[in-house]
Amino acid sequence: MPRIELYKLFNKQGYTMFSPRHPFFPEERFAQYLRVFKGEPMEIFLHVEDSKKEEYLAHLPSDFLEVARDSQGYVVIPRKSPQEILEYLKNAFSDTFRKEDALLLETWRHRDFFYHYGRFRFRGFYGVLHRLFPIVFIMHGIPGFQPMAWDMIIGDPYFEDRNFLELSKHYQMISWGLEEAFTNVTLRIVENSALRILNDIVRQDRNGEGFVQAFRVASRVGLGFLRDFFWPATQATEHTEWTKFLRPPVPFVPWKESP
Amino acid sequence: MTKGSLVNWRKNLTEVKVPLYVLPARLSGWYEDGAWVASSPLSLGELARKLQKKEAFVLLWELYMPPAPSPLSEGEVAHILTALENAIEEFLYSLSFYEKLARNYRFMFSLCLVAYIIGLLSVNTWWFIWFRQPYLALTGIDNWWKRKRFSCLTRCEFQGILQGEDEKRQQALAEVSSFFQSLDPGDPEYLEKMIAFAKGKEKENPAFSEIRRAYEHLRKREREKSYFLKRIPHTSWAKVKRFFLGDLLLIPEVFVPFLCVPVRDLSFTPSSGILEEWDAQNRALQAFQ
Repeated sequence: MPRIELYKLFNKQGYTMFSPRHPFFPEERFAQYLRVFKGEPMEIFLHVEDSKKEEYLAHLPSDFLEVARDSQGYVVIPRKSPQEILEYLKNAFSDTFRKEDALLLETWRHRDFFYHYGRFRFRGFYGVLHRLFPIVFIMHGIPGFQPMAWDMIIGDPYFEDRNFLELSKHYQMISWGLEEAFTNVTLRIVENSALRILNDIVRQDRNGEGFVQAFRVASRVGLGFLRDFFWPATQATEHTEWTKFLRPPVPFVPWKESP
Repeated sequence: MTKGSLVNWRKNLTEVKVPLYVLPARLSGWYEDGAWVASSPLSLGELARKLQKKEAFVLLWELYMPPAPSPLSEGEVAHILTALENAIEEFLYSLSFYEKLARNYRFMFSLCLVAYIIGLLSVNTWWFIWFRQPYLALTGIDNWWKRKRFSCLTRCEFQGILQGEDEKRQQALAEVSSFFQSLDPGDPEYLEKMIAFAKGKEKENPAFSEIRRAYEHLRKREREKSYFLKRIPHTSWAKVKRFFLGDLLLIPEVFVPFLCVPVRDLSFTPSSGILEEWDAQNRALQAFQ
């Protein structure tokens, strides 16, 4: 059953999602969509530190709730039912994963088409000259060159065109799978204690260096792929241990911008 | 009617159980530094050989964990299953994808062969035919062979993961784990020692030989370059080769994945003082700069 994993990480401000999928080796995703096309259902595993659903729903964006004035004070009124919220989440997954993967799929499709489309067909005026090039051998007076020449003229373009067809069929199947994957998707919420360790470290934020420490611990708790999240996070928001390499920012204009 | 409702109820599904041990280790890759590993005693090739005769099957991984204060949680176990399944599926996908191209290239050579025979019969200057791409005959032949070996894995209907129940295996794993605790934490030769320890105990409990084989797969994986590094042409020789005989002419090799998944170090607790130690290191480093 094809599965997409999502990790709910604490990032000091709130929560963010991270999915451990390789950005430029797409075979893993394509294999999943091909399986969806062959009839298997898609599942999304949401890894959280605590499986209690209330905790999970508490951090949804505020337009799910309405704040109204009551006679005693303010009251919070939920606008959507839990069912509607889950539908909303599914749409969100479709908007993110599906967009990203459709882009990746088009990139790879065109890359392969570029290599294989009409590789042995030479079009245009000079192309005609190239196509006729074997005639040099034929007219040279050695009849033995003929089979090779005809093989080059007929055989090679034929098989290369078959390659092209195979490729387009293949990518068509994947894109159909991609369309189908997010129409019927199951969302599962699982508790992950390694994730809890990391989130606790970031929450504790010792010396204002929570991301560095989570970065160091991440691989040890088996979530090494989260280093791809923690490393940019620490570089962007924290002072690192390598103060030696810090430089004052290059001024955008050589004069002072404001008094 | 949806596609999933077309179920062949007469299909004879057999259940195949494969043990998977959570082994104490210290992995060394960038993304797995210091992690333990969930490793199977069977490599993918051995697993395929075992499944060669099976019609259609359900693959169940039996997970054995050493006793620990905080065992792997539900999400971590689910991650192990996902990682294994993705590795196998990606492997099978790449094999079938490249085979689609390679088959046509080999057919191209077969036509060339016809031309060769005609030339052989009609004239005495037949050798010219070898001017034309003789290597096409062998394009993707290694992938073809791998596909033949591993195609039985495509008959897998479902993969699942269970807690292992076999007491002998649990006992052996507990012994191995306590032996690991007795080793020096910085020992570079720890894998050799673990293998030797398991080998010494094989007579009394056959589960030790499974653990030894799982460690041997891990050792092989540690010695090899990582999967991504193998795929990227990062040396100058690989770059030259890829440029001249690259993906246009030669089909890239598809590497057989290891059935090893990095998991949490079960002896690790964030309160064990490691964070304070790192803080001290940081402060020392900042003072030094």
